[in-house]
Amino acid sequence: MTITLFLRRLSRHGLALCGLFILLIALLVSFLAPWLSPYDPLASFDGLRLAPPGTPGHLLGLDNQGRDVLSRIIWGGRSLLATSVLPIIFAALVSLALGMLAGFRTSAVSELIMRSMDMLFAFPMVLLAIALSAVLGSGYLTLIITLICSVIPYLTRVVYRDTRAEIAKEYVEALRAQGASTTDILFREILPNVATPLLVYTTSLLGGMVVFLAGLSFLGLGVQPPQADWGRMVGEGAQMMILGAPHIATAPALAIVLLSLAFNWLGDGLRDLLDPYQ
Amino acid sequence: MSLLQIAHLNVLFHRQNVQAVDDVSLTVAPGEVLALAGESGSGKSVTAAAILGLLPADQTTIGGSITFDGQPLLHQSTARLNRLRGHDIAMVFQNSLSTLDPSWRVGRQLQHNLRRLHPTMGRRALHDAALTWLTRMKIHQPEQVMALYPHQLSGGMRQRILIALAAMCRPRLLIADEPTTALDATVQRDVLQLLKALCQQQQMALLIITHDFGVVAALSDRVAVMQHGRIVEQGVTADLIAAPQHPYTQSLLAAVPGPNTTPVAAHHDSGAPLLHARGLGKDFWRRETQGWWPKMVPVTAVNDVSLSVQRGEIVGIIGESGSGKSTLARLLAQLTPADRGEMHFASQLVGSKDKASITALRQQLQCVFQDSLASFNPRLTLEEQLVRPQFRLGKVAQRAQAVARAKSLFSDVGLDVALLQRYPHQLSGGQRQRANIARALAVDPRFLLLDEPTSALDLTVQAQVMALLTRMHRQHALTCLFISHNLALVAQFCQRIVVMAHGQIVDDFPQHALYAADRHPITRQLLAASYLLPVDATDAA
Repeated sequence: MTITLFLRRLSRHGLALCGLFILLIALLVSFLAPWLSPYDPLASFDGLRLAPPGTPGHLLGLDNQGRDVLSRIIWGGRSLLATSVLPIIFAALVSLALGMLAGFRTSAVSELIMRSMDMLFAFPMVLLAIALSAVLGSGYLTLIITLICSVIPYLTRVVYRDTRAEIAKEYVEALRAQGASTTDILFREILPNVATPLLVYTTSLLGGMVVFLAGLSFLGLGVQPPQADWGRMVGEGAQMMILGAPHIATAPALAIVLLSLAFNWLGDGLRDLLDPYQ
Repeated sequence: MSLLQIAHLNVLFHRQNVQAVDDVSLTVAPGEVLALAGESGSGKSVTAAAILGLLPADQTTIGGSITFDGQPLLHQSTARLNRLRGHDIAMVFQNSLSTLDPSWRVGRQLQHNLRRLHPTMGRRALHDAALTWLTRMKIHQPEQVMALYPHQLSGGMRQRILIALAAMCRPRLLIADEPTTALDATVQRDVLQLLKALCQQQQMALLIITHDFGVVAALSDRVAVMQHGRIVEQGVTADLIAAPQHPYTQSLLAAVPGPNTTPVAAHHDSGAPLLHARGLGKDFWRRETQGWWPKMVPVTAVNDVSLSVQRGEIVGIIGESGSGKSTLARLLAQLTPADRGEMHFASQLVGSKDKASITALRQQLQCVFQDSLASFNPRLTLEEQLVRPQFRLGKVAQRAQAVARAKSLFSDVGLDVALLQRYPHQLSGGQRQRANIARALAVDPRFLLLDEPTSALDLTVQAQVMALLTRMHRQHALTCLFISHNLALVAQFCQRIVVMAHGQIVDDFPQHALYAADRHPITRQLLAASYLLPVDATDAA
């Protein structure tokens, strides 16, 4: 797949473009948070507690402690993207290695890897998060480890299954007949064919993981106050609903939905764009 | 009064804007066998789908009329069609593996269909009726076959079960779409005989769709030839084969491999053989799950095979599927290590433990497999796949050189150089097999191992590919080992013919001795199954 062909296809895929656009904006805003954010996310304006959106100088209003909601969303997005995207990229690389190692030849090692994955599958991840926060305390590290442990079994299964399927195809035999070595077959021919579905699956999975992470924070297992965090903002804002301030929970909730959708759209789009049969 | 009448049928596919069927008129009389012949893409399968109302209504525009026994078939409701489909009209599809439900045992599929036809039948009676049908289909051990899943059966057995499923409806019209294309020559002959017998027993009309004029000759009373969605010629089969009028019909007839009137020049080179194998053997382990505990049972695929091939020779290996010829090919190409025996290539011992000897072998010996789509990496352009092997085997130093060689090979095998930028699935079967041959030639080998290279192709395309191989053999001074189940094809192309059965070589003779009196019975059997056309007809064409 050449780059130009990929870009030409991308330009014709509305949903993928839409997802990519949202993600680029989110990444850009997170990266430039110190300059873009109008206020310090922790600074409070005492007289303006629970002020609604549209208050002069505060586009999305203020929360129950008088902190600017927009600034908190900008900073919260930064932490959410950092705790979701980077660990998942790491998990995808680990899974690629584990899955291909297990898939390319049946051996004791492959049994060991795949049965360990089965055990991870069986383990409830919220329980792991609680146990980790008991040992390490709540915070980024707990979130990241939980996230990595929850996605690795899924991703490894995908890589393992695809590697097995590719190895069994006749073209691998044809390659051997042409003098290709095992490393050659594994890294130059099979790796790209396995990495493509992994990329698609990882992107779609990120959408779910954004919601999962926000959920952990909502439960109080993630980022600790007063740090800005979308999940926690929804959790705390929900209590403000009855006080007639729905914006505190709604704004971060919408941000979560939008980011999750963007990942899903991009994932779906990549599946279509990278399919040579399209 | 005709049973099926098609008048001025037109089918237009919207998305591709293709007129797949263009003004086709046909009639089938009760009890008649009509063959609809043509290459893939000629619109014959679309015509069959139109009869059964299987074309997607939202993607096609259908014009003209189709009547069955006076009732219109076009633009009818599903409920109305279902009173005919599976009752008065039944169909046998080409791909028996994907047509049968993979998760249903054979017995259940048969009984399910029987129950639909005879709702009052009891369990015992259904079981017995299913058994009777399997027996009628000449399936051995029907009781055991009833308990098997489709993938556990051979292609020929599956095709018989499909025919049983269709015939048990006692249809007045049976439509069979390429029913024997995927089958071996001997199995094809048996299935065709079965179909013919059924037609006579049940006074059933048959519309058979095929690209093979051998099948047309063996089965049909009348034939209609289709090209580009139009019928170019139709008439009584015997007359049409004796004197084809349209050039397209003539080309279809010429493509059927017949007895060779111009024998291939025998090979005379008595030097040391290029390839010499002695006592090769290979066992596979099969899991038997009868009883409580699975047992591993050895199955001998190749047993004590000795073979030498002289430089420049073309040797054909034939045998039915399961005779071990493909396993032998894998042993010779060192894709599977042999359990017994040894092999020399260019007087060098080739061993599976000795990596250097295998690399040396690969530089000299290349393979072309049957399934051209599966033999290519689906996600790489053809150019990349022609360039990489040249680097792997150290034939070129620079990419530009490799690309130039890929281009010259592509034009050599008669492909447009622009196709190098395409992905494998974007080519037609014939084009892809040419690309496959070009890829094998990319490393400039001395020896080409061809495993059923044309079995998946239409006969006219097969003829073109065989002509290409003959030309490449001469041009590149190749030695070829050609594996096929079709004796007629092998006899046209090869100087020497080796016959395999049950993992062993049973016969080995020069091409001109094919009709000699002392041929092995298996050779005779394969020979009888290979020629479906009357012998004088191929001469005329």
